[in-house]
Amino acid sequence: MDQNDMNLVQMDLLKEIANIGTGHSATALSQMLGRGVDMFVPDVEQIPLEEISSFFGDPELPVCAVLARCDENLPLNLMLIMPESDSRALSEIMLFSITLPADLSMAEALRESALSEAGNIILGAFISAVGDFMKVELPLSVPAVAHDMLGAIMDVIISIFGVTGDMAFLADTRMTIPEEGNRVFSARVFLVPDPESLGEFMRLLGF
Amino acid sequence: MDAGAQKAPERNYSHNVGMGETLIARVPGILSSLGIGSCLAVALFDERAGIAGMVHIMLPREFKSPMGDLPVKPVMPKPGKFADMALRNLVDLLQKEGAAKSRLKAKFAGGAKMFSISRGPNLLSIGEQNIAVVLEELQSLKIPLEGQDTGGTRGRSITFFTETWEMEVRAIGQTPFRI
Repeated sequence: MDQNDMNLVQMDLLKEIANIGTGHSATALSQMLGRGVDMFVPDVEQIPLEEISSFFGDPELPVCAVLARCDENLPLNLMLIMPESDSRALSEIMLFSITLPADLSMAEALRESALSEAGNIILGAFISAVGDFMKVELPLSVPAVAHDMLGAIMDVIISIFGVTGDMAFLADTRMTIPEEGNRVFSARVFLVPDPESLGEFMRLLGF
Repeated sequence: MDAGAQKAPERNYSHNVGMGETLIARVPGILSSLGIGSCLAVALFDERAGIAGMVHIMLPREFKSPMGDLPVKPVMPKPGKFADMALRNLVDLLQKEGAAKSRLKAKFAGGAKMFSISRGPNLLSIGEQNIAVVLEELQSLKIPLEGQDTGGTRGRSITFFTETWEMEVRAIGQTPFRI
């Protein structure tokens, strides 16, 4: 089997993992919000590192990102990224029945907490499905939320891939909440094993 | 569309320095790196020779590959990727283009920590390490540091103007400023 064949098998497997993870994330999100959530069958892309920061959009696009880590068994990072405007929409759906306090900083804190919880549920569902598939327990840390430029957020992923090479394998997973034909929310999930656990990650997948 | 009326004038001499890339510009060239998080944009310039170079650094130094016998092997890194190689390489390139090492000055920005996660690997605070290695390298190359805007938790867009030798830093929710 030459390297290209290996890459194809590998990419199929990564695609399968992304598929399973995204499916569970979409279901969890749908249950939490009480509405339908669509998911896109993910593509696995092999992207040169220097292209990542602009691959998914304008590097200066304001986004909201939620990062959670698994520090046991198979140390890895999971990140949820959505455009800032979509994170507003998501927090509004989540806080729908709550009267926001008049105090603006309190209202903002509530939104942040809602986004952190949404991240927790989406990423938690993703990783537990992946863990089941790989037969390994992958407990997640409390997530951290950041609001910044897409390129700056992607640096986190790029620096981790950068340790092992000049390419990243990313599954372009997407979830959307359709509403009367309008997209109200669209998000991506990235799973990035720590460089030290990449070998073990591939081994558990049978490589 | 009146949105067009507000558009910035087109910068014909402007070039984007991508991750791990090294670019050199003569007056009036403009070099920029947009949406930088933990990475760094370092500009070295020789005002008398009218030349500047910028490198978009990703990591402090080359790590030993932990991939073992994986099918995807690391390839030869770009010299701009790692802080320790990047600056020496940039100095060499600038000298070949007519800059004098003794006249070089430096400005740099970036190296933010995007997420406040206390646990986790050093990689989540790679920005600090990038800054430290660049400062060390500048010192050992004896290049004076003329301006710096590093660290913190905000991403930056960085533009270097060879007409004024100024570096402009933009961040979400902040007024752009120049160093």
